[in-house]
Amino acid sequence: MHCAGKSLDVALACAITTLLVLIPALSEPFLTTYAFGATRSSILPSSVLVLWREGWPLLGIVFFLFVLAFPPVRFAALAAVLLTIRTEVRPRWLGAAFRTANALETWAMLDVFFLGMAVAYARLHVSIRVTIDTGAFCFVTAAVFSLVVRATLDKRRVWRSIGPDADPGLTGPPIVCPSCDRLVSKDSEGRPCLRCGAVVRARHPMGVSRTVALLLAAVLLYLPANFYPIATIPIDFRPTAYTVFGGIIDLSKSRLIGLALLVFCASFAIPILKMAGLSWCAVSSMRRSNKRLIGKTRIFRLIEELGRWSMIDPFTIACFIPVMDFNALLYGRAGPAATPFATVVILTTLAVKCFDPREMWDRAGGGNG
Amino acid sequence: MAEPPAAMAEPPAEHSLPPAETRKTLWTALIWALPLAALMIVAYLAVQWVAERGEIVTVTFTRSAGARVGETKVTYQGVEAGHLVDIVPNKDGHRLDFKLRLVPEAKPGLNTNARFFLIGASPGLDLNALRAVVSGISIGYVPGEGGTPTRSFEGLEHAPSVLPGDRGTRYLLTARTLGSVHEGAILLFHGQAIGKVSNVTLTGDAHFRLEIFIFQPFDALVKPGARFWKVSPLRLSFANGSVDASLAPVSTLLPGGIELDTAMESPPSPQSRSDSEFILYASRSAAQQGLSGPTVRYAFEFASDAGDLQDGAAVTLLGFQIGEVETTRLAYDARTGRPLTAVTAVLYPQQLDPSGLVAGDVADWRSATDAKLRKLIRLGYRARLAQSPPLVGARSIALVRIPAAAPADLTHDGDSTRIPSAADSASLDDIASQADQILAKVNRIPIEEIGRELQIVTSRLADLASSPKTAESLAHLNHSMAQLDQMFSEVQPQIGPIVTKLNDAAGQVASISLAVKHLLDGDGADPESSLPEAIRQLNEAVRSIRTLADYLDRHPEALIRGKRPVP
Repeated sequence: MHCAGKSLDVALACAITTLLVLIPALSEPFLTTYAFGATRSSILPSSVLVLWREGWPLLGIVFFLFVLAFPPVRFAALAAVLLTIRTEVRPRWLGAAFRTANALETWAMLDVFFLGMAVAYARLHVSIRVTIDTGAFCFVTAAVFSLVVRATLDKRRVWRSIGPDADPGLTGPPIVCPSCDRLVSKDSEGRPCLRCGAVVRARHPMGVSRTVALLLAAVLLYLPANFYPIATIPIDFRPTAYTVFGGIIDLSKSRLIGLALLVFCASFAIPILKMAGLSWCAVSSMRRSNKRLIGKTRIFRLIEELGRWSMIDPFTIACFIPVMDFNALLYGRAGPAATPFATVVILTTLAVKCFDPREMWDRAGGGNG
Repeated sequence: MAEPPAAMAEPPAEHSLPPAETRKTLWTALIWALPLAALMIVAYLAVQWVAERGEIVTVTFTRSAGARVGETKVTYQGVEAGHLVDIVPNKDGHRLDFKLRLVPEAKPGLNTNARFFLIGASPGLDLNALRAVVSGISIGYVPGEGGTPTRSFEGLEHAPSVLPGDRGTRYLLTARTLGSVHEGAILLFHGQAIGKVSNVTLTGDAHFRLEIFIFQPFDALVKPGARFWKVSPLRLSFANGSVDASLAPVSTLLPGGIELDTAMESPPSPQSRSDSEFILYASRSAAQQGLSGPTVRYAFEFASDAGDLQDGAAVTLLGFQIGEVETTRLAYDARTGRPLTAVTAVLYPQQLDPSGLVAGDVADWRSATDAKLRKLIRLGYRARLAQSPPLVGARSIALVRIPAAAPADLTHDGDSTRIPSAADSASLDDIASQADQILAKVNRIPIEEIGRELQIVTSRLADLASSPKTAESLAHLNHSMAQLDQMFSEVQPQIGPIVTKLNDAAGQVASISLAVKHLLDGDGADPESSLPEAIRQLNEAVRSIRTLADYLDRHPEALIRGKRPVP
């Protein structure tokens, strides 16, 4: 049953490594900046405190959850599940734990924060001296191993180790558990899945309307998110506020073309693609269109995978805020657009989660007869 | 969930394929090295963290001065030695306890002799203050030597002038006025900085007691005959009719300075003991006169106008200073009701009779000095007002021999002893009413001499105003400003742009220009006496003295009758 490059041992080893390395990553000094003989040093949790204290509670909470809380939970759950399935014991919590670990795959943003850190480093590096400390090195290690875990984890095999892929006495057309893909009979709809504990539904009744509602909110917030400056950083010893798009231009002017492209994709292209693509899917689903269903599904899979990377910009801010606090001229601060921007990303990601692409097929099929 | 799921991991049986072989590769074993390595790293970091936690000490400061928890550093000679972890109010409710976490290496130095102080908390010209403007203050730390180990300290506002590790000797100076000398003032010996003023206190009798610290090996210079005097930024001395001008070393302009000189003695006397007391003289000439030793207070009465007799004016005998004026006030004769000037002055018995009255010989200075003065009075010596240079100089009291003086003696009036004044110590304005003596007086007025003196004075003043020495001093000042510029430009790559911006936006650098102005003005001097101003005034003085001299040359009678309106 080995799939290419997938090994539960490797996944387990990397999950444990990630979990261990996260301890110093969250407690050791992270970044240190030097200006005029003074230094500012940060640990990762200090970003939360600084954001909270400076009046950006939502950003602080988002940072706390996505970077500080979810990754340890996810990798602890993964390690526990993968360790347990090596034994003969199958405790009741196993399915729920693995479901939680999988649910946090989108929201545990070690890898996204890693890129945010790279952007922050590049931005700071042009004006002052920055060193990457032990904590950041450990964090980068954790981020890399989290990607390895993601690549090597054979979810289906884990699910099969936890429980069978189908109800034993399955008769009639089955429905599939949205979380662990277990096949259950149609009459157990609305009840928790026996393997993972998620509520099994053929389709979410309110899926499309929820998607549309979240999407509308995101589109509205997208305007302030791009209109206002997202952050203020010193450039040539002048506090400079930049908007999302202005930041991309700044980066390309500093000859950081690679980073500029990255931020352009993450902060500008992906949100637009996400909103446009999802609107297309949602509208076509509502209009029961049967055109280009495969294309739409592919776009949906793409935006589902890419959506989380838009958090790079907010994470960049969270990364440099604690170490850019020297004086009235040399400081970094979040701008009015930061909260709307993070909200847009979260809302669109939630909208993607709410949308079920099978709905398009259902309705298209229904429309045809 | 209840069924044993192990079977499900196996390949489904319905496929008639041979069961897959699983091989243990090196990879599967090696992969466990990863978590092991991670575990080792984490353990190492944890051990390091515990080992580097260091010491928490409490330092009590009177103010926070912008210190920020987690950011403010403790530095030892510019190297980070810890950081501020918390600020809590002191138990007394007035001050603040700084909790500092120091590196473990600091532990041996944490004793009662260690010092903690604020760096950059007070605006100034030094790089620390400039840095503090940019990046906040830091806390200086100097490890102590000796002393008993402790974990709580009193914080200092400034860096201590004398660090616990400095080697040298402490002495005490007493001074009546401080002038520009204060804590941190520099001690000079022939231009070489040899020590610092480490503390200034006011003693009960309105004198200042200065603790000075002289570094090794210069402390060997301090011998019983050592003389200390205040360095003033610009010194003009009219003593004995000659003009002496000198500009203090630039290094002493801001903190003030004290100069030290020692008498050359053929058998070199041993170094004075630590904490020996010396007098801090107001000027070089006062120090050279060398008033020292015990003092005895005497009173004088003058019928002529002595109101402009300055405190500290000299009391001389044959031109040697034997004492100085303390107070001058207006009084009335109890019997006749005539107004008179009552003066009190202190005499220095050891100056009055350097060979006869040696410390240790005399139990009671008062009676010994009284006896000495009685002898002088019997010989005809009386107190009278003198002016040096005559007519335009500062007034002083001289004990001069008056031929055929009326017999007199020391008079005791309450607790004061009065030295008799010369009966004819009337000043020149009384002369007009004594018509019969006019000619004699005119003859006695040394017009020639005055003219010569004035010529010397004026030429020297003119010389001074245009002298290369003054220009040199100014150039020196310029040079030190240039050095200051250079100091800034050395940190230019970082500081240049920010300084410009600071000027624009924050205005905090204004304090620097203020300080530079201070440097030009001389610290503690009033704005009137700034150097260019002083030179301008000097020029004016020269001009007016020259005018006076010319006028006197043509109208010597003006000395008696006063200046006539120009017809």
